[in-house]
Amino acid sequence: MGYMSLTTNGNTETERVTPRSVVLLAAMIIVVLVIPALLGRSNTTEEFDRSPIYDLNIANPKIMFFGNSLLDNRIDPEYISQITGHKSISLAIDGTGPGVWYLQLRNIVGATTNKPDTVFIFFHDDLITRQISFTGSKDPGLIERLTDPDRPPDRSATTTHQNIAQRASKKLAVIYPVSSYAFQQHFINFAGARVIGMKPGDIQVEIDQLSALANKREQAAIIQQPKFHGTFESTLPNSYLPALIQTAINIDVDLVLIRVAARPNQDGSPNEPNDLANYSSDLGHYLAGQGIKYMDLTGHPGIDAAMYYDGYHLKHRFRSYYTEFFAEWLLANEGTHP
Amino acid sequence: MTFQSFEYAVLLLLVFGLYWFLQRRLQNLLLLGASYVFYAYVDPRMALLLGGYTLVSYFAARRIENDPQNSRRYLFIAIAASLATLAFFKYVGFFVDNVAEVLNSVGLASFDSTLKIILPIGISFYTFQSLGYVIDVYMKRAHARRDFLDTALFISFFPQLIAGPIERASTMLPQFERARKFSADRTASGISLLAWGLFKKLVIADNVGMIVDNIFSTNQPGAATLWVGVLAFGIQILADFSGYTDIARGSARLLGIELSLNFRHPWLASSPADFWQRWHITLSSWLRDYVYIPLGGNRNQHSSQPRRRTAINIVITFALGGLWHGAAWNFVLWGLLHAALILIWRTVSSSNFKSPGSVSAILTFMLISTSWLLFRESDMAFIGRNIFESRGELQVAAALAATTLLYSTPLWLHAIIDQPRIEKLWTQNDVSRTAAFTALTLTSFIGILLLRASTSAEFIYFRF
Repeated sequence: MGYMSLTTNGNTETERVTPRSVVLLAAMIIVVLVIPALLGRSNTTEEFDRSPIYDLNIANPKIMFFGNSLLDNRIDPEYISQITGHKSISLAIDGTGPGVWYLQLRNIVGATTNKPDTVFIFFHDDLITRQISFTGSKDPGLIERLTDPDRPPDRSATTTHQNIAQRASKKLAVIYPVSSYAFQQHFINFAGARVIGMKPGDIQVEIDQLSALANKREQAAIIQQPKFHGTFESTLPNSYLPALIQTAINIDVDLVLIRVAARPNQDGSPNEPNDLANYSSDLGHYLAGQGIKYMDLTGHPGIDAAMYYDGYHLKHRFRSYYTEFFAEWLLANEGTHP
Repeated sequence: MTFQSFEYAVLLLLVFGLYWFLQRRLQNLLLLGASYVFYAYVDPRMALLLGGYTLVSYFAARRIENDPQNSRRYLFIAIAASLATLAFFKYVGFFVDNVAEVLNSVGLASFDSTLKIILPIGISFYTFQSLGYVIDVYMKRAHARRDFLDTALFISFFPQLIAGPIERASTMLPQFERARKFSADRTASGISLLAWGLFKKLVIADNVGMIVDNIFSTNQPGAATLWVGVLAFGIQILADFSGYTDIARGSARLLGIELSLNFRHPWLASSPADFWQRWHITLSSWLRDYVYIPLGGNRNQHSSQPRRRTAINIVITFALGGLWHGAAWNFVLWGLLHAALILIWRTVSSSNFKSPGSVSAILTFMLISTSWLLFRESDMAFIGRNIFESRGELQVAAALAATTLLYSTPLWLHAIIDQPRIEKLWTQNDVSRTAAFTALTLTSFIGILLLRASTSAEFIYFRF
């Protein structure tokens, strides 16, 4: 029975199939499939979180920013407030996409008594018409906290058109809720710190210092390349963009879309395939037709490759520079109404 | 198509579902079709290359057997065609780059040496496997198959096509030529092996890989952190490659095919030579049988300096082994370093110096771990800059080392429990076997669900 071992070579003789062996195999498969499905299952859903609405009512911002980490490491809202004289707030959440931004606009901004004049949405490549709520790991709890049961959204914040693999992955998450707790490896990372008697926070600071943004090697292979997921016409109908525009109209705020540039090539030329350039052009035409302002920063001379930490994120020390650069553009375009 | 993809799961399930309802030849036809779908999935042109290798191997082997007087000529044609193809795709760029550098440095010529040749995935593996078949027929260790289908399947069998194990005709072809019947025990074993392999890849290799990438993407990690990176890479590459092999063996086992063992707890090796009997076993045995022994191996009685001749054979074999991994000098140096380790170990062992087994194992582990630096990093200036430079980052290094070792715990546990006397406990009867398979599969599955890395990198050996 050599093949019973995982690390020795097995024999290749054929075996007789007995009812008993089939029952044992079936029992194994059932146990393996069923037990993980029972883990982490909870009937409680998170409630709509109204605290951001209260906070915004108190803050009363004139300018608001939506986006993910790309926004966070480019724009310092407090600095924008200082430069422009208009109260600015960022609602950036790492790893989020248009589905989340739509819920933020509709259920948070839309529910405030004093609405901002302008909402800027920062995105990269063709993310604005991708049918996703998260660019990284999914957080169903966030969707629940942003969903007001009294105001069901016009459009579900879940993806409608997905390929088979994406749908299978989604089904897997439903069958195995424990998989939503994925990426728990930080517990092990923190355990490693504790083993040597350090606090997890301290080790994070040490690691950040070691691999400081200025200490990265030039390695083309690890630089992310721009992503293209289909022409603008093909991706628009099922995207959140029309709902975002309609919601902005309904709640009477000006929507401005900012497309940030992927890291330029070393010679300074834009790192953008033709498909994406065409996409941006089509998006610009569409938004102009809708009366929405659009700014594509790809190829902008003020942003060079040396400012980037990776394919999309800027080095931390350039955040102030970028914020100033953006504030100047804002002021040149009549304050909060570019 | 990669093993951790949704597409592979669908392919394997479809094949498995159909396979056991078919007769032998139809089974083989199904496997051949699935293998070409698997290989052509990313770039259909690659299938033409695989088909070319199959045709060359099939006809060369047939001619060698049917025309003994010209068998040497046909062997030469097959070897030349296979190695020329491999050289074109894998080594031309390396060669041209080096020639350009030499000419530029002496001012003879100046030209842009950048060549963009796509490396067909798995070419090094199936080149060696198909060459082995032709050489075995020539050496009369195997007979040339008349059935083209079986030969084609032997060269393209999808579970082991792109990263091995590098199989021999004498072990694989008889399996394809024999009727296979469904076995519940074998299926349970195959599922366990698959799950364990996926765990090693998605949890251990990918998580540790993030630590490694972080360290090696830092310009000045400092010596302590760099060495932690080297240690971590040793764990990553073992989990990655043995994980791949387990998935391959598990997939094949589901289809009633047994692939060769490729890893036997290399961390427990008691010498550098022992390491090569535990690490990538099918490559090292291939190099031994088709390079080292034909060179004369360690039987050089006719040589005036037999020890020197053996040493040269070892150096040549390991240099080629290094070059097989990649067209870069760091791989050649890595191979030469292993040759040096084996030769030094031999010299010391042949003297009166004896060390306890555990000391030998620890020393071997440290030496092998050190050698991974050359495997992971091709920038010698980076190595030189950091290898001895202390930047006072000891705490970070210690935390990363602790994390790495925690991730590697399942590998150590497996090495401990995978002993014959322990295996006896759980293989006593079908209930204990099923319970053991269930426990392993369940633990692996839950581990994957909870601890998988946020992104899964390509298998390291795919680039070879």
